[in-house]
Amino acid sequence: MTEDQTNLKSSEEVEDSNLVSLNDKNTFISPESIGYLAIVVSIVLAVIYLARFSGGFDSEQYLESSGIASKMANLGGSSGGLEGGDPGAFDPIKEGKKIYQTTCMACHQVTGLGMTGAFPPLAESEWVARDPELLARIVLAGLQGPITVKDTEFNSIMAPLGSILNDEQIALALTYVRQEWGNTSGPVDAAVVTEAREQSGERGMWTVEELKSWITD
Amino acid sequence: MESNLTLSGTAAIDRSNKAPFLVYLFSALKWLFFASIFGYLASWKTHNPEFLNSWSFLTVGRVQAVYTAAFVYGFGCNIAFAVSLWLIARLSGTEIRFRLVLIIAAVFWNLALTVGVVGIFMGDLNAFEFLELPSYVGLPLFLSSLIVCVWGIACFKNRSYSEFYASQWFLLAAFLIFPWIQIVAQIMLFVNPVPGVVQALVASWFASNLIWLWFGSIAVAGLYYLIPKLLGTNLLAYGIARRAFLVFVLAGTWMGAARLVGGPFPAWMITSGIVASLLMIIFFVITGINFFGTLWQNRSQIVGNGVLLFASFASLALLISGVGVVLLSLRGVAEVSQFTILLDAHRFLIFYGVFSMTMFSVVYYALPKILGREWPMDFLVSSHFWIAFIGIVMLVVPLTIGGWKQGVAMNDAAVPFSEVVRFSSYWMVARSMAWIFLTMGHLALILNVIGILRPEVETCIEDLTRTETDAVGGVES
Amino acid sequence: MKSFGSLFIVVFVGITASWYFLLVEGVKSLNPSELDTSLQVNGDDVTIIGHEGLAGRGQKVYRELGCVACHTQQVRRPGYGGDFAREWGSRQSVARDYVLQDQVILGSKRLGPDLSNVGSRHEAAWFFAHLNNPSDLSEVTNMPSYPFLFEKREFSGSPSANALVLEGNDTPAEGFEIVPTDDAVALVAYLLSLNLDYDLPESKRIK
Repeated sequence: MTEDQTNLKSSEEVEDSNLVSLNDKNTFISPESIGYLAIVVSIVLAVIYLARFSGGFDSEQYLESSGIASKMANLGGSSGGLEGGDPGAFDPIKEGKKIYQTTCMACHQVTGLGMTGAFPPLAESEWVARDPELLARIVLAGLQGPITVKDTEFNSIMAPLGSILNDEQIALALTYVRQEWGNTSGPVDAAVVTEAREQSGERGMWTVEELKSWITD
Repeated sequence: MESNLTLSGTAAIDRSNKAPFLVYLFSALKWLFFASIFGYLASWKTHNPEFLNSWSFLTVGRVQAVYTAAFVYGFGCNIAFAVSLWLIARLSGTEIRFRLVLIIAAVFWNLALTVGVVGIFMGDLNAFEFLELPSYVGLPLFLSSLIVCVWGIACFKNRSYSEFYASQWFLLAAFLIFPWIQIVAQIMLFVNPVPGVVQALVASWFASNLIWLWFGSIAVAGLYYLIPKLLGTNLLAYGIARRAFLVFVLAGTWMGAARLVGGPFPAWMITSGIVASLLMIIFFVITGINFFGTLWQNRSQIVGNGVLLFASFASLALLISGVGVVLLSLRGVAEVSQFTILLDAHRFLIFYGVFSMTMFSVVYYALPKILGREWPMDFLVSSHFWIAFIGIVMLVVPLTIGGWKQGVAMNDAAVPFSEVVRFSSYWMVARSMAWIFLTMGHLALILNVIGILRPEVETCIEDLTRTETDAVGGVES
Repeated sequence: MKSFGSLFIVVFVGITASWYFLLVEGVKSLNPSELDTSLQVNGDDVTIIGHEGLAGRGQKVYRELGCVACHTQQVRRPGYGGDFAREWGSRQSVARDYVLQDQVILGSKRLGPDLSNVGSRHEAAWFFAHLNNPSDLSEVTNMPSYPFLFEKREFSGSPSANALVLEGNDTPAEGFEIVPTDDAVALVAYLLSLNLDYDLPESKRIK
């Protein structure tokens, strides 16, 4: 892209503001040499910083230099890092509680008491104590129609959660529910949920009538 | 195309570009007023959280977002459009053609922004700084700004003068970069969002380039123009200004990543931002010499000259914020300053101290030239300056000191968090006080603009109310 | 600078280089295919999730209220800043933690504590009470209350299961209860889901 500048005239700007650079100041250190000094200093600093702290340009490296990892390890408590105190242990009740509180709490409430006239309680509920295969099916495909819980009738909708939670998560949440708020039933295994998912296949929401075969009490 | 033959070249160009300048100036001042109110409100809510709290549309998060949108996109962009178009036209010695399109672009810009601000009140805001406006106004805003930028570049390409000044480099860089960063942000964040933390990286890149390569560029262009013109002397280091520009454009665009230090990003990304900030020392030193150095050598001319007062402050603010950019990017310093109100002070210094003060400077210089008459209340110009000066110092200094203390305390786990909250509230009160001064300064500007335009308004009204008999009489009044 | 052509090239290189080598590189290396979201660390299964269902709605509420104005969601590494000492997290948050989220809300200001691990610090009931009136729970706080997230209504018989249990001045009058709206429930579910209590190869917890 070349400019044809021969037809262009000189601007009035040049005539009245003298921007052509002539260093006519008699100063000891010329402003331009300060500028050059700044260029050298900043390039040197930049190169040093880049060399020391680039973390090898590795996108999985979050520590800018190698000495930091050992410094961090020394910050641990008397257990000295990852030994002891079981920080890596997996607590199923805690995990299940997290899933409950982020998915089920909206309707069944944090107290497990549900909402009168709308959502049945889970606390000390006879349904929670029933066959895990029953519970897995309800959670996977949802439930609609009349249902009696603790001598109270409810008739609303429980949304299917099979596409939102995986088998492990459903099992953990059920395990949590079955031991919380006065419930005393045992844990639910992910395999049960997997089998329930396979056997139910793609289906609409259950009604209590359809679930009769798993209600054995 | 030859301009008006009855006036001399520059003045003729100014007169012909009157309409876009006035339209963008009005929009800017209207938003400035609105932003001043919300700036005060947002600041007040940080230390008086229960104030006006019962409604969702005035909750502090939304008020902050409204303030930022109104101030940056309402005032900032409108005045940037006004000044950049005037300046490129002047330096090119060309009239801007098809000015009606620019005015339509202005209308759409302000309409889209209004819709966006209402959207924020209703809750459609985003969680990225400077990108809070709902994504549905992204396209109209982009198109309006694209028109301005294309018109600016076209004006340059049609230039009748042969020189290629520093001001023009910076203006062209701004015109080329602003549309690009908008496209990137809109597509990578809203149209087809990138995964995970890369969003924060895009947002930070956008924010830094918006502040420096759009607003900063236009401010620097304004200073490169005004300072030698008003002092009537060479800039001290104009010969190496080109190097500053190269560093600005090649390294300055990388600075955004430095703000993310300590965050969930690979070390090399953050280091790249810090390295870019270190290279920017070149830019700040050279422009520091050119602006602040030249002004200092001719400081006797500054006192009493309103335009030069604003320009001098902006030059000093540029130097100080440059020091800030370099220091605050370093990991050791950022450990304390990050997440504190010190960063608010720094951003404000750049956006208001450098950019806005330069824009005020150019407006106080240009509007009389465009309209062909002087400011009716000349004392208000320097009053505006001193009020703004007090306001800026009152905001930046306490927030810097308070922010540093806040950072130190936050890093010390022995200090309970409630204690950190308590004492940093006191420092934030200064910001609310500062906004009162800044708003008074804005009112001074608005009054002066209304005053200088009175003859035009009066002529308009006269024209409109002239009776039929006069017109039929066929006498030219 | 001699001409528009050379200026254009320089500007183009400047803005495109940073876009490509920083942003596009970021996309290439920090996406879900590069960063496995289902992996084994020290023999434990770790699954990274986005925020789904109720918690996802809650993230939307969080964004719409502008909580990002005062809160961050990123833990700096132990030894850098006071995050570890203040028990805001026991390891640095890394890109993999956020890789499946819809809109990442890292935040850039801490006028309130960091929230990356807030789900493990408080119970649901605490969150509801805090959002209703923060000064009930903390003597000195700059956090505003969010009364529009709750409904005050009359009840007969026994109070609703999800009514807030409040004390002191904030207890509603006889026969009235304060009940969270759907937005509040979603928001609390989101806050409860904020937890980085698992190890990753690039970031291991320190106790």
